[in-house]
Amino acid sequence: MFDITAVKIGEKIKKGELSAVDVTVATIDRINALSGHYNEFITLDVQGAVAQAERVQKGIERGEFLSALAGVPFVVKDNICVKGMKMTCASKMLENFVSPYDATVITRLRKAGAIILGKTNMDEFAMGSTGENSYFGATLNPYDERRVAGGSSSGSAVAAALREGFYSLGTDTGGSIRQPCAYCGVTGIKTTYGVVSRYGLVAHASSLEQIGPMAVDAETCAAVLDLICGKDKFDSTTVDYNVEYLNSISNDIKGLKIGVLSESFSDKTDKTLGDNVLKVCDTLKYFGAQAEMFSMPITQYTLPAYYVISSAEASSNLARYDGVRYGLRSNFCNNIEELYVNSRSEGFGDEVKRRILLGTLVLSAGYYDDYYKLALRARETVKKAFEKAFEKYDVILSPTTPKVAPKINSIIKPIDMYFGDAYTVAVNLAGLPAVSFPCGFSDGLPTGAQLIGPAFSDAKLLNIVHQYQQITDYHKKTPECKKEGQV
Amino acid sequence: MKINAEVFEYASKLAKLKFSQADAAKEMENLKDIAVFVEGLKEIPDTLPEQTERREPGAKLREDVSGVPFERETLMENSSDNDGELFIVPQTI
Repeated sequence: MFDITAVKIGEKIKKGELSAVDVTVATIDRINALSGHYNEFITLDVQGAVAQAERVQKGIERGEFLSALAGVPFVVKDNICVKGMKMTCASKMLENFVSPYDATVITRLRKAGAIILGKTNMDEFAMGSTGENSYFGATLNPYDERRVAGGSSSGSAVAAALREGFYSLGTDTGGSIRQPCAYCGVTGIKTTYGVVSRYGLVAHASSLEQIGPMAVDAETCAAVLDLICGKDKFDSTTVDYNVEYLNSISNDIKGLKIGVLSESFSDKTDKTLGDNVLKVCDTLKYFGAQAEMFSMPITQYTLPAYYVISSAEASSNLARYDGVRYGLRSNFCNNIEELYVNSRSEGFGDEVKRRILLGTLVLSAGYYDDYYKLALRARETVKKAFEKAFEKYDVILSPTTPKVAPKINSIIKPIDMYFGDAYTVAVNLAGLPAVSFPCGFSDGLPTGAQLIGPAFSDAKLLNIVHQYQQITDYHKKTPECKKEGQV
Repeated sequence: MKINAEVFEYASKLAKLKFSQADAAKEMENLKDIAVFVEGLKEIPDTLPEQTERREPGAKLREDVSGVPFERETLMENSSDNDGELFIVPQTI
């Protein structure tokens, strides 16, 4: 059952060859056999999932729930609201917070008959690139448990790689979907800003982040986008732009012009990883695509610009955690000021505090012009550089990450962790769509390639990756699990 | 961006965070590394376009002043319910 895709499972459920209940129970059994080892889950809702599956199965038998993913179970990153379920953001601050409402993406998936299994581990408040900054402990890489799973959507990537659910929802602020997808050998898309509603997503950096699917293949990502995209009255940044993603992935890509970003193949990138990405061009040439190297020098400023802007927004968004309205409340305070300070100091982890400090500084009167304003200028330049590049190329290809997954605790300085996002943050600054997909292995570890497109080319990107996945099998590889015999 | 103990304390107060002495020393070093890293922004060529800022030209930003802006008694008068020391916030979940 776990060798076939979410769309095929959905078809079998509709035809009556499988039941939503059987699929859900089998997936829960698989999770129980594996999840203790990789620390990829924070909350599992076994009873709730089975009850949902029974209800959906009856609905399917009555001719309701016509979507491609009706009855198919999935998992959710723990910064997205699911009503009645804990939502911790992997933080002590929200350790016992139970969401009182569903995020829009959850409402839409429920309506389509999808089954929610549980919430996945992540970097605290989505701040991190390794999956190590979780109050609940690091998520382990399924290809090598001594290594990180990537971040911040670490648990969602591991669950997709281990087929613990047929797809995952993650969020991407600076690469948090794409980077763990690359480290864990799965496919994921960061959509054009505004394509997916952020209502019910815990805000980290509101102008940069998007919710998106992570799965074995591009076809599944397309099927999920069909269900979660579209205008939402609860999120004024959403756009009224509806495309049939699943119906768009079989289009001809003959004549496709690929620009290969030369800055991402410097000596900072592992050689085998870089070679694997370049081989993607050769494969796509089989379909009639053309590729050439090009340079975009502004990419060297994207990382500091990203960290200034995202930290500034984070410091503002996380000001609401003061121990008064919700979240952890310190027991050690004599007045309201101490309540704020002690609650925040006890509740937030190191990386979150670090970014709040940086964000506070760059927004303060002495530093605003020198840093925040400059970062906003850099952001405008990045957007313009991409616009210029897309006058010549249909898509841009680069590695998703400079290196394969690093070993746990091997990154000592936070600044070194930030370089893991070097090739992903530009996309968020420009609000563009990008897909990460598996393109081979280096010393047994997955390598990821990234395709970037102009705004609203999300379906086109998935189409290209789907074509690539028709004649390659990197996405079909599964990690040799610790408890392989049990699953 | 020069990070020293004074700047660190200033940022901590504004952010409503406190650190033990050991943590403060460690985090100050991390922040120094990050400060060097974001200095790279100043190397951006002058040809960059102006970003779309909404601030009036020449307008001054307010000074950031940390501390409690209101008297405690004034704040407590606004609470719908309190125990004499702190606000009592109704449980919503």
